[in-house]
Amino acid sequence: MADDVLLRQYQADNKTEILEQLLLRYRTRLFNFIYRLTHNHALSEDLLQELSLKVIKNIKRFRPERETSFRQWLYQIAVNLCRDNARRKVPTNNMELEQVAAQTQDNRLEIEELIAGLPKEQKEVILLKVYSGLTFREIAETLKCPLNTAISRMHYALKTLREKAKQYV
Amino acid sequence: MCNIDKTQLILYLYGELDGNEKTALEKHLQECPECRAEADDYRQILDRLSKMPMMEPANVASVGLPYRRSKAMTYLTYGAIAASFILLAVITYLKLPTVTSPTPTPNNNTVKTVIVSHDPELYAWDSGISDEIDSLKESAKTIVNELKTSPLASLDDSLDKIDADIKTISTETD
Repeated sequence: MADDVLLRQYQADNKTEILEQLLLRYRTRLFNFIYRLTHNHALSEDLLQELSLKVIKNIKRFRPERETSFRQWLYQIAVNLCRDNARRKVPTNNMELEQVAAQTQDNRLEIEELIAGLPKEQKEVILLKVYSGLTFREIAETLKCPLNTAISRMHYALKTLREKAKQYV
Repeated sequence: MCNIDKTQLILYLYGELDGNEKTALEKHLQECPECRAEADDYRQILDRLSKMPMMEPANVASVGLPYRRSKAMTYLTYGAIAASFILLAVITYLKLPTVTSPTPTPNNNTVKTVIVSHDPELYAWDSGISDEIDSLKESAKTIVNELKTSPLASLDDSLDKIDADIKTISTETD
């Protein structure tokens, strides 16, 4: 069932199960998105929980036909939470990244490390593309930047990854 | 050096170019090895990005929603609490030693006191309902036995005799 159909059902019936169903669809992807921005597992869990609470608090007033899609809204909240967290300067855990890298047996670890080294703005765009599946127009709205800026950030990110990947090979 | 707008290349890789723009870019890629190589490299990176391992948050059973009870559940809970209190009150009342009103006897003014429950174990709060019922049955049997062996039994006989005498006297008077 489509997100907006479930959303309308929830807004009409106020059944927690419907909201749970909606959030479960995006939970893992949201977690991975947040984790790859923060590099801290426990913090990502906390931010995911905070995201759920924000959704519960504001979902009654959320109107997909007037605003954005539910999915875009979720990622907008996730981005804002990660940005707020970065402003609070919670230290990231590079050890966790190394552990993930050590557990991975093929060259996937390399791409994770490369992404971790990207500037924050580029990382946001590239990770949004990987996990949210939003279009560049939606990503630009989510990040509150012009469309061309969002695409350029993606281009620079890919360019950097391409150059660094060549160094690894 | 190719001067094509690289944002077009990015949109193309994600399938977000319009029909005409897409056709134009595909034509360009056929003619420009530099852009074609760049596009191929980006494709490989995007492929690797899509294959990054997915991690599960620790608590997969819940999405982190705080428990919110429905109205029906709330009423049910309050109802259950109220019922528990009523049941507790009934059990407490039954467990208390009950003294019946004194039974006057016309001949010797003796007072019969009946204790419903003598069993101290019944004061234990954790005793089960079935134990409670069994105990009450036992108490009832005790009362019946006591009544049978008490002066009240002979009183009944006396009353019957008096009734019979009254009937006889009445008949004779008539």
